[in-house]
Amino acid sequence: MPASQAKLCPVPASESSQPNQETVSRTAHAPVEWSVLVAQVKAGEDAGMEQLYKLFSRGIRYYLCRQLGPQELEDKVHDTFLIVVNAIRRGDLREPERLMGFVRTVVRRQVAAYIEQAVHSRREQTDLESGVTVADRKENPEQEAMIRQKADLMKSVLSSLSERDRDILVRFYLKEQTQEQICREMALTETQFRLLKSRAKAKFGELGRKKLASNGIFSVFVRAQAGR
Amino acid sequence: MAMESHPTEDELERFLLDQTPEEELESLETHILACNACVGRLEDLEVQIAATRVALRELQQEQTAKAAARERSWRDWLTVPKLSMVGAVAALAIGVAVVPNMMQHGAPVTETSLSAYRGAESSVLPANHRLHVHLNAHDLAQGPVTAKLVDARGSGIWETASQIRHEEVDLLVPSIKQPGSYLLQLYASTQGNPENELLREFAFEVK
Repeated sequence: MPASQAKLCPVPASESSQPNQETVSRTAHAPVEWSVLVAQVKAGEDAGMEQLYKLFSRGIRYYLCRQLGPQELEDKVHDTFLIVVNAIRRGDLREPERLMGFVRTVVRRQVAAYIEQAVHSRREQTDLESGVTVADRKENPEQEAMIRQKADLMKSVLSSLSERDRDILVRFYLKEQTQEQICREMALTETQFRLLKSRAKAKFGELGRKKLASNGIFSVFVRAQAGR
Repeated sequence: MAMESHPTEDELERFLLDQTPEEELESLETHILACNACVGRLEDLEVQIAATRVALRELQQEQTAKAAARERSWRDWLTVPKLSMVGAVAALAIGVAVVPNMMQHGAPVTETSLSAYRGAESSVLPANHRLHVHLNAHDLAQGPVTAKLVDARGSGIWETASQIRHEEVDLLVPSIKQPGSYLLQLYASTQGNPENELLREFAFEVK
């Protein structure tokens, strides 16, 4: 999947809209009674199953999509969820408080299994990957449009930077060099590096707001607030 | 054990770029799996990173095209009939002597794919061209690598850090002036390990 696409996975319409970063509380996760939840799942209670699904399905979907792509994603999420539930019912989870780590272990094993299966299939068959890639593109037209719109704005911001600042961003985003390597090779401090990135993002945000005001168009910079 | 609070934007960005340190990865992934808010932040960041990459790449291509246009206009200027041959050679000599560094940035870019399979014909690439190389990394695990360019004697000429993504390594190699045989070597990058493992070699000729 080309880097310009990123691994953009379709978000189900049923998912509630997300708070933006600034409004996310710094304290993670509402307190969950892990032992109660695990006991409910073990007993096959609907309330427990529902809470487990609500807690993990989006994260599992995101993780699987990022690692494996959007093909047959819902089936994979469903299979992974079943594996977690069955493992809990078998008593494989000895400490309910470790449920989150346990889910992570199951998900990573699933990813490894799917990759192994894909590699094995590829060796047995002729190369069909190009067809899969084409299908991926068709699944994210909205996200493609969003990226294009943002990229056009981003170009205005990036053009206004010095060549050195642009080079830093090229190294980080295109060449995927680490912050440490960039700072070492370009004689930057960590603070200078972060400042550059946050300045570029701030300019980008400001430009986006100006464009929104001048066009009077609802753009990707304003998130839907319904339901919050 | 899950993170006590939400990860910062820098931490999420490093995660998306596969740069999260090993010791932080477990807690970060565990948090993301159970935090819808952070999944939303990641999705937004993905779009932002993708847009940044598209913008940077297009700006680079525009700069390359401008540099190529400048080079063409130089050549056109030198063929104007009224210019004497001596004047043309003198202008070229001044350009080469006074601004040698500009040659690297103005050098045209040749795009190529290299494969390490036996029996594959060795690629022939032009000298004095920067090389945008796509290395076939089929069956190699995703992750950081070091790419080294060595000449026929095995002397190192250039190296850079890169990543294996989707069974490919993407490199922009500086222009090579000397014709001959060269190897691009991929080494596994492991922190603190001086004896990195050679993963694959790609041979090519420069003419």
